[in-house]
Amino acid sequence: MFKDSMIIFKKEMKNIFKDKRSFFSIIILPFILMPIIFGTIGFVSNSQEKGAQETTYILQIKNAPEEFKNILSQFIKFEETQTISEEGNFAAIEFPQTYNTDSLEKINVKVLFRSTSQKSSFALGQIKAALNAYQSLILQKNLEKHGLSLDDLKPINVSEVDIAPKESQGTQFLSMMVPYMLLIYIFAGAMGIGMDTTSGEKERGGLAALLVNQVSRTSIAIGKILYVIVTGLLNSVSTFGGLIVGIALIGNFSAGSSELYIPAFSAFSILGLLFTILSMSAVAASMIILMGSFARNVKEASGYIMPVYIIAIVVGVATMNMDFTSSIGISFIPLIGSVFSLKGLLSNQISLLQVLLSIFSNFAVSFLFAYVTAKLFNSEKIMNTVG
Amino acid sequence: MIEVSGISKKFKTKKKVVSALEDVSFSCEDGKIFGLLGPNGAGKTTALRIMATLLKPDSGSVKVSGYDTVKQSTEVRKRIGFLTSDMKLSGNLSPDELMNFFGELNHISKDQLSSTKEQLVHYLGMGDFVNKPVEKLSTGMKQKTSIAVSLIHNPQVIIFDEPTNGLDIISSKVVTDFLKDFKKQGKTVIISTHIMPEAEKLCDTIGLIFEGHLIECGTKEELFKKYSQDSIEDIFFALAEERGLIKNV
Repeated sequence: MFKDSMIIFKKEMKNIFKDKRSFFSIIILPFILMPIIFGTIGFVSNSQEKGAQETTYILQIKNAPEEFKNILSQFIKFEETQTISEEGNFAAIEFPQTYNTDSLEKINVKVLFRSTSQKSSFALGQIKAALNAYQSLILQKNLEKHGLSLDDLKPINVSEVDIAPKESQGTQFLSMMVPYMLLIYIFAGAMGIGMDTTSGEKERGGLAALLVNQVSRTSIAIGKILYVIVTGLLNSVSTFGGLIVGIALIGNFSAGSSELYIPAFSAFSILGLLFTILSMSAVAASMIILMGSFARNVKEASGYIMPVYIIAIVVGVATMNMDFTSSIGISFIPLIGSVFSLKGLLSNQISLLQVLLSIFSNFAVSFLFAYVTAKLFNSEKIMNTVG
Repeated sequence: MIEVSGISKKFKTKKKVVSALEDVSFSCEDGKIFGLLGPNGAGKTTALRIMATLLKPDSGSVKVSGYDTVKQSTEVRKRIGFLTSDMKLSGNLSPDELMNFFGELNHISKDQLSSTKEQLVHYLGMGDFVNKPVEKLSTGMKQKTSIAVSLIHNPQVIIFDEPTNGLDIISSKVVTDFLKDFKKQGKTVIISTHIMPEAEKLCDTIGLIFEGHLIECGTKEELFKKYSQDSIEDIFFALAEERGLIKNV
C-alpha cells in the first residue's frame, strides 16, 4: 500500500518541481521574501530614526534661558524662528515671561508640536528630554546651596540583572515572531496545493482516472497527504530560513538591540524545530486534504478551508505575545502546543518531553484526519461528481 | 465481454431522490463496440461509472470478463481502460511521464511499459509531443494522451465516456479509427455519446437511454427495421418525441 502511495507522491512532487513558478513561489520566494520584508522594515525605521536625528528643527523658543538652549542643542540640531512655521520639523517651547529657578515655585513650560508629523513628534521627545536635563540641573544647583546632591534625594538605586539563561537572553523577538509567521505560512503554503490535488483534481476529472486504477483509495489519499506535507515542510523551512536572515538584517540595522539576538542553535534545537515544523505541516496538510476531498470543486473547498486559515491566524496572533510555558498540558493541544514548543526551542528553554509530546499530538490528530480522508476516498457519495 | 444485468441507481440530494438508472440490462461481446446513446442527464455516465467500478449499483450487477464490479473490483480494474469526458489533463508532466505514472499505478513491468508506450505513441501519432508538458498541448493532443494513459495496461475492455467530445474532425477520426482497431483486436468497447452519426458508423450494438431507462437496445439493422427508419438519429428523435422530451427542450 505504501509503495503505491509513494508512486502518487513522486508524481505530484515531480509535477510541482517541474513547474518553475510553483517551485519559485513555494521554495524560493519565502526565503527571499522574509529578508526583503524584514530588511525593508529595518532599513525604513533606521533611516527614519537617522533622518529625525540629523534634521535641523525649526523651533520657536520664548523666554528660555541660554543654559536651557545649550542643553537642548545637545539633543537636537535647531534653528530659532520668531513665528509659528507650517513645516513638519517645527515645534515651539514657551517658558513663562518671568520665573525664578531659585525658588520652589513651579515653572510652567508649554511645548507646541504637531502629532501628525513624525519629525515634530520626535522633536517633542527630545525637548522633553532636554527639559528633564535642565530640571535636574536646577535641582542640583538648589540642593548644592544646602550642601546636598541630587543623588541624596534618590534613596533607591536600581540595578537590573537578567537571570534568564545566557543562551536564552535576547531571543524575545525571535520567539514572538517566528511561531506566528510559521503558522501562517504552513497553512498558506498547504492551502493552494492541498485544494488543487483534491477538489481541483476532482473538478478536472483526474481523480476518476486515478480511482479506476489498481491502487487502493487509501493509498491515493496517503500519497496526496504526503505530498502536501512535504511541500508544506519545504515551504516552512524556506520561510524559517528567510525569517532568520530577515531578523538578522533587522538586527544589523538596529545594532545593539538586545531583542534581536539570534542564538547559535544546538543540534537538539535544530532537530526539534525541524520535527515540530514537520508535525505542524502534517496537521495543516491532512486537515486541508480532508476538506478539499469533501468539497466538490475548488470554490467549495476554499469556502471550507478559509475559516480554518482564519483560525490559524487568530491562534498565531493570540499566542504571539504569550510567554513560553513549561506546562506539559499545553503540549497535548495540536498546533497550539507546537507554537509554544517553537517559542521554547527558539529561546532554549524547552524540555525534550515537551517537544516530543507536541509532535506526538500533532501526528495523532494528523493520523485521525488521514483516516477520515481515506474513508472519504472510499465513499462513493464524496468521490462521485455525477448526478 | 461485459454483462450488465438489471442495474438501478438512485442519487439522494437535499431536496429529492433522483433515479439515474432503472433496471438497465445489456451486454457486449469481445470484438464488438456497444454505444450508449442518450441526451444529457439520461444516465449514460452513471452507467459507465458503474461498469468502471467508480459507483456501485443499488441493485443488479455488472460483470467484466466474468468478474463482478462490486465484489471483484480489483480484478475488474486490471481489465478495463476508462476514459471520462470530464478528464482535463493539466500540469507540467509530459505524456511520456503520465504514461509512466499510470503504468506504475497498474504495476506493469518496465519492459512491458516501454513496449506499450512505444506502440501507443506510434499508433496515436504522439511522437511530436510525447515529451512536452501537457499544459502546452492542444485539445486533440490532450485527448490522445488521455487515451494513451487509459490503455497503458493493455486492458481487454475499454469504457470511453464521450471520447470525441470537444475534438475537431481530424482528432475525432483518430479516436474513432482507434476504436475500430481495438475492436479488430478482439477487445470489448463501450462508449457513450450523443453524436448519432458517429455511433451509427462505429457501433455494432446501440442502446438508447432516456431518463435512466434503456428504451431500446439492438443492432443498427434491428432498430432500423423495428422503427422503419434509416438512421439512428431519426429513431432517437422519434423516441424522444414519444416521451415528451422534444416539447420540454
